[in-house]
Amino acid sequence: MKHRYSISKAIKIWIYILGIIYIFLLLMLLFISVNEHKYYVFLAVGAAGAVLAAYTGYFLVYRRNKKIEKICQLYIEGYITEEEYEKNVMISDMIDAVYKCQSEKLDKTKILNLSKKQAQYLALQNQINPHFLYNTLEGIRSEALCSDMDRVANMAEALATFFRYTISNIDKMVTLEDELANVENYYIIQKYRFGEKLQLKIEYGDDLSVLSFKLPKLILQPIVENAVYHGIENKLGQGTLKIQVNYTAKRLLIKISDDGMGIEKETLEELNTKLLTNSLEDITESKQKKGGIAILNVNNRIKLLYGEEYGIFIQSLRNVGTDVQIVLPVIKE
Amino acid sequence: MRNEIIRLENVITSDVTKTNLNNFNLHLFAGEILGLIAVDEHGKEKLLEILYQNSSIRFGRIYFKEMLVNSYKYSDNTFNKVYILSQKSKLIDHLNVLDNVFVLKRGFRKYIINSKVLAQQFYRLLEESEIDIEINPYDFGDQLTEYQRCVVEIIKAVVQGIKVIVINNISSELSEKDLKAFKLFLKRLVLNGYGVLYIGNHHEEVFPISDRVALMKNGSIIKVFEKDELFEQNILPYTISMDKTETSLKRSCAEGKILFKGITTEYLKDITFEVQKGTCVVLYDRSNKVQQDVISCLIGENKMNTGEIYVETEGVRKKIEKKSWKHQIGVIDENPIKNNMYHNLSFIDNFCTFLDNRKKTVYISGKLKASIQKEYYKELGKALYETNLNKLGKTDLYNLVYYRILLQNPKVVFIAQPFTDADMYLRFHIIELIRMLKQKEIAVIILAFTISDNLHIADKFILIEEGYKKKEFLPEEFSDIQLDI
Repeated sequence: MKHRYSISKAIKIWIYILGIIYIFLLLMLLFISVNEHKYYVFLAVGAAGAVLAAYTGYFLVYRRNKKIEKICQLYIEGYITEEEYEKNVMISDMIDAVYKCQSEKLDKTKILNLSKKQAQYLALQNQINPHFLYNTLEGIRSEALCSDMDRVANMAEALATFFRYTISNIDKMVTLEDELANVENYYIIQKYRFGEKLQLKIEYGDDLSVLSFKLPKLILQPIVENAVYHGIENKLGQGTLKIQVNYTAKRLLIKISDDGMGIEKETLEELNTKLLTNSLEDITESKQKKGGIAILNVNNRIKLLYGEEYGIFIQSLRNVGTDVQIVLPVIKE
Repeated sequence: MRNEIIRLENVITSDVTKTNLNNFNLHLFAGEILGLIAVDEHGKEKLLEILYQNSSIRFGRIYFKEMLVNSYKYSDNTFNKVYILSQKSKLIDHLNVLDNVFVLKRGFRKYIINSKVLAQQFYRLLEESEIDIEINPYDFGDQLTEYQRCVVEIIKAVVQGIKVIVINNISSELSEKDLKAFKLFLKRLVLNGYGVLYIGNHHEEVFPISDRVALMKNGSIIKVFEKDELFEQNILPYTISMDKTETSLKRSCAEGKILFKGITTEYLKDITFEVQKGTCVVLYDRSNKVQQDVISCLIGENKMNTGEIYVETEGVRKKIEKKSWKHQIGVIDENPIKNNMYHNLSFIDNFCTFLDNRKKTVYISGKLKASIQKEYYKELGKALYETNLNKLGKTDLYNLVYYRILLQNPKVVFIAQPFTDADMYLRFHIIELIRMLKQKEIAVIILAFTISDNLHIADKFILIEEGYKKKEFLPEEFSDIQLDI
């Protein structure tokens, strides 16, 4: 049989009916009290009943119901992910059991594995991307013709180091120094293509201990690559990439800025909204959207590994540049 | 390693009709002054509210000293150690400085108050802050100057154990000289591990004091400039151009000028200058005294000691008598929305306030009002028919102020600090309104104590020091002004 109302609505209607009965009984009591000139009986019983009902109703029902409604609303709007499954909403024992069962079914490692696969896929794609290889080889060839062999050797070394780092052990933790070295390697390779058009600055202050902090592998390079291809490549004149590292007691803050083409306002808003939480959405989309996917992928990996308080946020203005802010936990060991 | 005091992460807040803060991200380190320039006002009030109190947010997290104090999952409405210094005083007027600073402090439990001991503590705090200011600790809250009030409030915050001080648009309350000293005071303060969020509307004011500057628009941070990026050319793409687009007046139409000869008031000493019809002169005085002095003379609070005002047309000079000042001189006070409005009257009634200058009778008929509404509908739109001014936005209210002057049609209008409390879009709009007055051949005199955007509309800039006219600058010399002052 299909019911007209949900159970929560039915409970509300039932409470209203009880309320009406209560008021009716109070009126009866009032009538009796007035007849017998005992107003205080009515006042005492009525006030005590009202206070008790309001107090218990607020703490036992209203506040909890509000909390559940807020969680449901946020879930519908897409703000909440797996963490909410771990919360005990306590609607009823049976519903909670169903809820727990459902949360077990949603295996969050699935997203993590997919993200890793996606990162490996992007890395492999880099390896076999003909444009990437052609441009790089073209650089090697022209260097071989025009200059001494030393530079060609440097270039080949940079390329080999880059591939070695990128392809192996994607789920390994590395030091910030390794990550920055990989970015510098990538820059050396791209430098042969872009020449003086591309500049890289890395700033981490005087405190060198930050370089030994651990972070997941391939967090920085995909974002730098994005900045080069989507930001600086189409820009007229020189473009500068800047990586600034800062840290607090609990957070490692990395800002990757470029003064390239920037992102359209609507695209930026859409991207930042997606970066609020992790999801399977967009991970498996076509390679035309590779730029956005790389950032989403890195963000997903960070959030899945460390929780939703870490991740990426983007600030950008068309034709001015883009800042990508990465927030990671400080991991020293 | 930096010590982070406050962090707002992906904060989204909304009320019934709109989103205030939209994916807002900002962090403040101990020992730094973080500038915040609001391109528009959207979400600014809400930001101040959630910095101060952990009220409910729709999404995101807020950390204080890296501890989660507020999140979309749970808000406990507790207060953070944040002090907001704004234009409105938080001191109690009828209590003296010592009571305000020490006795009202939470946790002050003494039953016998020894004023001498408290005064010694107060002097010690003043000495430690190395600020060049004299404050009598026995003065009442309402006896303090704005500068003294700001310093006392900061000391009060320090005594309360506050860690973050938010300076919310106080530049319009302080003269250039006081503001400079106050900024120096803040710079010394942050060396002791405090964090300062300095909110201003203009980069010229915010850049010099800040270690980083965040730009806020539509309830989001759209850019954070690091210390080495704090240059004017970096912020220009994020702002709107206020360069001159006005067509220069045909001199034949704008013939005639207003002469101010030998003006001496309580502060001004024998000032003589002229302003052409349809042009704008900025009277700039860092001490903020010209503005109060001139306005009080014009509205009749004070008397002008000596001096005359003449209108010269086609070589014929005619004196403007004091009794006709009301008809021939318009005044727009600083912050006119607050000071030049009757909020219990409708838009059209406010609009017709100065119409008695042109119409002899006190009573303004409904027919006349309807006719005015019809005439100005194209420029002012539906706001003309609004009966409750509180429902109107700032743009409409500024339209009311400036178009009302147009209706009054004076020979010259005095505008005091026209850009006070205006965000970037509103400043642009005010510039357009002043240009409109110029186009209508009204001479405009701006009384300023901050340069701000005044140079975008000025045709002459007069520097006043200690009541005397020091120098005049013409537009081609404007680039030298910064160097001279």
